[in-house]
Amino acid sequence: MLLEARGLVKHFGAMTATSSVSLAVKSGEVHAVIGPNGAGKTTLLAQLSGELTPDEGAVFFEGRAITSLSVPRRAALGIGRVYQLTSIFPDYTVIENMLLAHYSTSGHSFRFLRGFGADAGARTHSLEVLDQVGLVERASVAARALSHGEQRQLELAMMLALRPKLLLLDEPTAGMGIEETERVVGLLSRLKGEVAMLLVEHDMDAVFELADRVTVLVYGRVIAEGGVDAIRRDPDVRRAYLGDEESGE
Amino acid sequence: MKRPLPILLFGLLLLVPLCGEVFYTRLFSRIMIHAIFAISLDLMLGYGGMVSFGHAAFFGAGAYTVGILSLHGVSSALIVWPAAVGVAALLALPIGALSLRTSGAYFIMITLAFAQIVYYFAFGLESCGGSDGMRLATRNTVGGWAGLAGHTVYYHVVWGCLLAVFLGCRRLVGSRFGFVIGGIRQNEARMGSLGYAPFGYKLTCFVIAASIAGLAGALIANEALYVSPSFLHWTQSGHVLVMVILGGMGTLLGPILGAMALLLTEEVLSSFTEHWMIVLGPSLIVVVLYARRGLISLLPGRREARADAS
Repeated sequence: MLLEARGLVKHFGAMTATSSVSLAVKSGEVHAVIGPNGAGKTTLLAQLSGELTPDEGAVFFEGRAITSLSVPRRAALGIGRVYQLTSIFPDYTVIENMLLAHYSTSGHSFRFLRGFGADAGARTHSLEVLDQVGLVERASVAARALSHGEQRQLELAMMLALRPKLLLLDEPTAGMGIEETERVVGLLSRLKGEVAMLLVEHDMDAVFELADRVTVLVYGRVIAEGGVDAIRRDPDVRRAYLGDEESGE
Repeated sequence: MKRPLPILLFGLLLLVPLCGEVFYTRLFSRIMIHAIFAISLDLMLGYGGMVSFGHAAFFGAGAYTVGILSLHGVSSALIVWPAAVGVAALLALPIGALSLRTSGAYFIMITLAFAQIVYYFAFGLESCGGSDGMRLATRNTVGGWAGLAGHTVYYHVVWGCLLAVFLGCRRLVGSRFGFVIGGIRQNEARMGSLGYAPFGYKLTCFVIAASIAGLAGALIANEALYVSPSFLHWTQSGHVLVMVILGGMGTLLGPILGAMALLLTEEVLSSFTEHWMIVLGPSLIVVVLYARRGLISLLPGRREARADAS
């Protein structure tokens, strides 16, 4: 197992946001977490990335307990995090954003004299990754000037520059138009197999296109877990979640 | 070079002593010293996003190092000035390590609190004259040479220090470290998820800024030939904060312009009326309202090239 969570519990005051949740992600697998609003998906993701510490339970990465490790430490082990709200460096250009990601994997940054963009190898690698996500032409544009979809692409590119083993994706297509959604889903499906993903997503078409396995979360509790087809047929899931979608159409 | 503004500014500053009036030479020495102080604050404020209201602590620590060493007969600038930088850095290490555990308004308050502690410490320092401060007999010497006593010579030394600080900081903010600091300012959570541990970088930035403020303190003590607790007072921290915001945060030229504008305006206004603050306050508000990015945004060729690149 690449990532394994066992019996995670998280309370916020009287509310239980996560109620003994266990899940496992294999290497190269895409595992989706779905559930209605307020099901505790983002809270769960935050416990896996290290932003929140669970009250009970443990998280393992490649067999090693990481429950008490900080976000930077987990990132260094190979866990990349893509936030629900776009999280980039707006004042920097696209290539500068990429270089910051790139340098985080190559030693410390207490380097005070040499110019930031002077490393040709880092530049080349960054441009390659930008090419992969289709942003290479925008390399010298300030990140704040990108469209919302492009900013999400940049964020993904930054995560890929880290060469992570696992990507934690919190609604990567949130707030995107149809065309942008297709581009991001296409990009993620090309990455499938290279990097494992834990995907929190509202767009059911995207989930069923990308995921190998699905965990369904309702009120912080796992109500179903299994392959895509099994989840699609599961009567509890249909009632709790998918049914709403269909009747709402 | 594609940057004519710094060259023009430093060139013009070289002309000041040629007017032959000691008053102006000394005034502009003070302005340049405050410019060094303001640049050091801007490293934290504009580049690192750390709003410190206690930067005077390090300025004063530099000045008091000059005073205390002179009591012990140490007068060589080659020893005293590095010592002032070192004392400021050593003081900044624990203050920064504790303050940086907080952020936002708490950071402002805790840096202010630490600066007040240092202020009252100096206040009670009887060997340095307590609340009155102390006079210095002479300026520091260089290898036995007392030439710094001449105001024109001293002016050029200060000019050289400002140039060195300006070029050094330009190098620093363009380095990998500089970009990491800027990244932390813009999005600390993202830096964490990239694998950077922000604390060490912020603390290093804090200590570098404090060291440069310590140099400015050593220079002001030599300029004024006295040290007093007023160098450490919280109004001093506010004063330099105004210089940075007035001139333009997140630039290196901005703090120089801010120091120049504020000190010159104070000088001119106070020659007309003793109630000069009544005029200065509203005019600062006008500048902040109409030039949000500071005076530097009013200069030609400085239109946010980056944001408009698309």
